[in-house]
Amino acid sequence: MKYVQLFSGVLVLALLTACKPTGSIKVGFIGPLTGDAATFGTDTLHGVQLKIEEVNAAGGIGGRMIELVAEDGRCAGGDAANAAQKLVAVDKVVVIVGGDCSGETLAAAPIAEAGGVVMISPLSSSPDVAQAGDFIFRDYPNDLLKAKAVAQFFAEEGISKVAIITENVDFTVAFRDALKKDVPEGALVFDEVVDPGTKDYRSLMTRLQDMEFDAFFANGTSTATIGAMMQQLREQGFTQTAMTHDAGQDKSVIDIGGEAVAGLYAINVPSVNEDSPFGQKVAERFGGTQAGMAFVSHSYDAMGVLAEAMQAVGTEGTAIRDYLYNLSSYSGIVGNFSFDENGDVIGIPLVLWQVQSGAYVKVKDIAVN
Amino acid sequence: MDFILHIIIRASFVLFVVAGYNVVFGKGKILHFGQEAQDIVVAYMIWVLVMRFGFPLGVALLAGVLAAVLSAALFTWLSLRLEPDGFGVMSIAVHLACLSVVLNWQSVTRGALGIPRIPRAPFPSSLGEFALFTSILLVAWLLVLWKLDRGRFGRQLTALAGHEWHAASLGIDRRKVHFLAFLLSGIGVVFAATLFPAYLFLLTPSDYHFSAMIFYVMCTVAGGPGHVWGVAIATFAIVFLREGLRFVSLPPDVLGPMQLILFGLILLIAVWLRRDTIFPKQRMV
Repeated sequence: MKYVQLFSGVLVLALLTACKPTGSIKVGFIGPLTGDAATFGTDTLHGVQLKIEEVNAAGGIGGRMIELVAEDGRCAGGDAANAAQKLVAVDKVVVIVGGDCSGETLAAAPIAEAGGVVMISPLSSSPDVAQAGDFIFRDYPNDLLKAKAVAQFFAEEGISKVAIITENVDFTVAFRDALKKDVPEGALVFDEVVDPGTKDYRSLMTRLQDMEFDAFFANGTSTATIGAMMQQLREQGFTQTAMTHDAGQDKSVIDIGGEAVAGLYAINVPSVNEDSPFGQKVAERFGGTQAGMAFVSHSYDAMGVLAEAMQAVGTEGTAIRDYLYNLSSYSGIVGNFSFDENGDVIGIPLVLWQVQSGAYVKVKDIAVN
Repeated sequence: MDFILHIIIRASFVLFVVAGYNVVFGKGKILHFGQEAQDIVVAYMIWVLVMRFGFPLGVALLAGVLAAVLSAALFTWLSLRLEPDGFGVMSIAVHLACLSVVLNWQSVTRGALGIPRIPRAPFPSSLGEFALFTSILLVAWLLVLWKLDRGRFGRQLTALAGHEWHAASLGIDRRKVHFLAFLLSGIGVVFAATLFPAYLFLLTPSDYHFSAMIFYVMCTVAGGPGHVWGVAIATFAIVFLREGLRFVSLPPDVLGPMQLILFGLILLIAVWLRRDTIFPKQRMV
């Protein structure tokens, strides 16, 4: 009888343990950790790491710690698919932050979708991602929105002729395509695409000597390329208005470009600044950014909204997905946001920044219709 | 299990191409580093016709085969007119030119954005079906290559690789044999170019960079250049090893570079084990 009681007790205990998930909660990350795009892959990884450390320090999710399983998507579709398959089928992650390159996200999306795992991309801006699936979200603004804001700025400033140089990767090409649709026909009087990582733009700048243009747009993917574009533009004596996007709103652009980036405009989300408390936290933990503060902050928020969802509804994929669709607002580093029916981020305001006296200063909010 | 099936499928896609490439580079000893050019041309020919112009898959496949034949003819023409080292450089240039066209002809190829939402046929559709279908097709493809390797074509190619003027004096038509070798590599590409984008639901130029070419060379060298089954085993082993590195527990901060370093070591070991093939012993007097 004593053994029966003991056995029953053990059985009840085992059942109770089985009913309640224990151990750590696995969170996946997919991004380019090697190759040309590794700079922003590293930054997005750091954002996720930082948020996870904070959540774990605060007691985790319902007492369970978050465990990060990072995978290198190498900015390639095939590698991202391999990474996603491992995260979903082997590691059994609850959610995924990634990919960074749109190709990574699009290749990983069907696998996450089939596995019922919510995936939030912190960086993919291609309009194609909006149709990637029900479980696929992003907290990075669709290029269509950023391009509209830039086109609006050009119209307000009376800029009718724009020269643009684009690094040939999906991130910048999608933005350029969207911008082309939003500016009046023929407004892009100089539209050149260069190989990823190009640093020598002197021949292109020489060709610009024969052009008439009101503004120059540095459509690069890293502070190094944007800084180099600006330096070589000013070297040639061009004094026109110059503009870039979030990839160029980082202190290192000022370090690289020096005087050449004085007056450079950048369109970006608000509250992302090296001098902000968040920027200082990033500098303290990782020694700064490799590509830009925007990338760290978007991935930090992606992890943040997922942690909030898991805190609220648990770790079941469908419940997390529904929570995100019904989210009224998440207060993140990049602003307050929610998601539309395609999983695209909405609500993030855009801000016009400008380099003044060696630092980025907010000029004005840009309300996009 | 799903991950294993996925890696089998991915390894099969690689082997379709590598097995064909092995005929040219391994068996024929032709310094060809432009295999990815054929990959890009055939894949974009098929899927641009289907996705951008609405052609039925059957018609697009025929166009893909035609593209493989034409690219084989181009490489044959170049290989006959250039010295081996010159051809090696030229084949890389052809690859980079094709990649550049794909990246910049955005109105047709969508450039760096790639072509998303590529449809799958009703069969193979699921993971299991893909694994079964690609495995059967792959075995059939390897058997065909093995049969050719053991037959007259294989002997002619070996003779040409050994000493082309001696082979010519035996009546071996270099032009015909080279064309057939490049055509075989093109046919391997047709299989992969049809199945891989459909499996991923995506065709993206980032999968056709030169790093893929290095991988093909590595698989060929590790398996023993010209050995059909050796290359098949080496390809599967290397793909599984590369993906297996994902299971090595590493801190996230060093994960990417460390995996690359470990993979480099594997490459070094593979080359070291096959050093007699790549770096023949010097003749001593």
